[in-house]
Amino acid sequence: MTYIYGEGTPFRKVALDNVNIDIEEGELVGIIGHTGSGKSTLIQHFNGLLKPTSGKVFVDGEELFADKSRLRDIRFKVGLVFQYPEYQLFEETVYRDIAFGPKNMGLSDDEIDRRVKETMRLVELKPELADKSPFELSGGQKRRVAIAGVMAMEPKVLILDEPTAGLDPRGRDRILRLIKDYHEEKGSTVMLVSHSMEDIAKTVSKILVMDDSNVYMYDTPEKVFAKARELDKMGLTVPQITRVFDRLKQSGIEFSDEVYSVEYAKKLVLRLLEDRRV
Amino acid sequence: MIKDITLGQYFPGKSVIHRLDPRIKLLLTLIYIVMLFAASGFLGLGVGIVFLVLSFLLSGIPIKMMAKSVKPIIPIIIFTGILNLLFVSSGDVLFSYGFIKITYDGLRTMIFMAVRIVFLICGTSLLTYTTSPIALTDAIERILSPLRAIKFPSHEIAMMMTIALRFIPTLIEETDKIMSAQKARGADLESGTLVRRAKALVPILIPLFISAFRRAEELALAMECRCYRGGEGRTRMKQLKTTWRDYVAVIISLIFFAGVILLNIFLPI
Repeated sequence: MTYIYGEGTPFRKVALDNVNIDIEEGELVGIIGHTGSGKSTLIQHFNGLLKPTSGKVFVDGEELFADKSRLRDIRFKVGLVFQYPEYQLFEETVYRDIAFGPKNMGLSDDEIDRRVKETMRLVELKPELADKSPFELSGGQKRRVAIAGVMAMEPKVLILDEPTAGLDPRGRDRILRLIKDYHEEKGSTVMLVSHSMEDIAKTVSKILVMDDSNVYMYDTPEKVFAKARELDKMGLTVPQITRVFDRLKQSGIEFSDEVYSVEYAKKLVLRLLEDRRV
Repeated sequence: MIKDITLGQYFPGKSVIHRLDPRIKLLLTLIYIVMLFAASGFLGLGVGIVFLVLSFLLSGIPIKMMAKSVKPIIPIIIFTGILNLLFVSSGDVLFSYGFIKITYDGLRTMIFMAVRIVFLICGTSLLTYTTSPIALTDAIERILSPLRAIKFPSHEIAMMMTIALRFIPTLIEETDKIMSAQKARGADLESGTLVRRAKALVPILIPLFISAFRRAEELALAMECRCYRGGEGRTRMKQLKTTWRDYVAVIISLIFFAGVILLNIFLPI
């Protein structure tokens, strides 16, 4: 599919150029790419906020925009959490803000109540926060309320655009862990846009690399981070630990695999040390 | 989407008209308006029109933009036209039906007024086409600055206008983002009764207001960090300068203006 901003004006800009991608159900996908590579445009196509200039998007076998009246149902199926989602909070209480999505779905009050409570548990918001105003919360809490607001719609696909932007390291780790838990508990497809390779490396099962309005590659983290040089050329980096091991390899120490997480690196180093001792 | 709304209508360019001092341009527009209203006959009006068309040609703005700027006021033209047609009762009767009487004078006034309004709008839009909003507020500040003597806050007003103009695109973008976010949560903005639609705006307006206040606060702080203290003793990076071009433009305009006055006296048709 192709998407062009401002077609027919001097500001014409091709944001997506013949992108062709298949994402399997139940995957936890990380989307990386430098600023302006088309990541945000791409994810806004997945729930029909943007209509492709040419080409088609299918969700669950159903073509988007084939029937306009179905669009709203598709948005319930594909939950999209925008960048800085806390700026969209508006209700008087946390509870009511999280209930906004489910309410729009026309669910019964009991069901809404169940979902709000469950998602609050999922994102580790204490039950007593339910009656507080979302504007009284801390930045990290607000972020979790906003994410809960989308999770409560129980979408089959959850997409998050830079969910960790602007948070401190602890808040970041927490959000990532919550996303991972959610993925495991619900078994739904999750996509996650991020600039931080560390975040991506420790969370996802597959990586989609966007470059210059196109999909550069879509593969497992091992295979993606194996192409450290090429990523570097695109203005992306690999996780620091991968770079360390890349250097070690260059200096002649043999490692069997690509390393992209600190835990795995630790194992390898320990094994190597043991081998040498023997 | 909402982004497509054109805001301000500045048409960047490098023509003679673009390069005129914005203060002079404001003054010329004023002369032009007085010219249109001073003209008592079609000939005088014609001189004004020639003046405008020449300026348009010099500015390099496509003539069709002229038509575009008139479009929104067509209802007003039609309305005043009908009023003139029906209520001017002097002169030869051309057509009558019951109490409706259309006279030659009425028809003439209708056309005269319509032409006048159309070219009035064209003239003022030429000003906004060729002058960026920022240059315009700058000019207004300078023109109003003598009023400081009577404690008129000309700098503050100009600064407020500048900030407001600067933040229009930002707020539109913000609105767009919030709308997308709420739509992704299933907000229905397009259907339902008027009341329902008004209610559907709440999830958009509240975050928008909050972010506007946040931005205002941040901006005020940033300005203070850079030692902004109001207009007192403030120098500017871009000095407005009047050059020979501006004087030539003023002289040409005054010649046209004199032409209109002379036509009024000698050929008042």
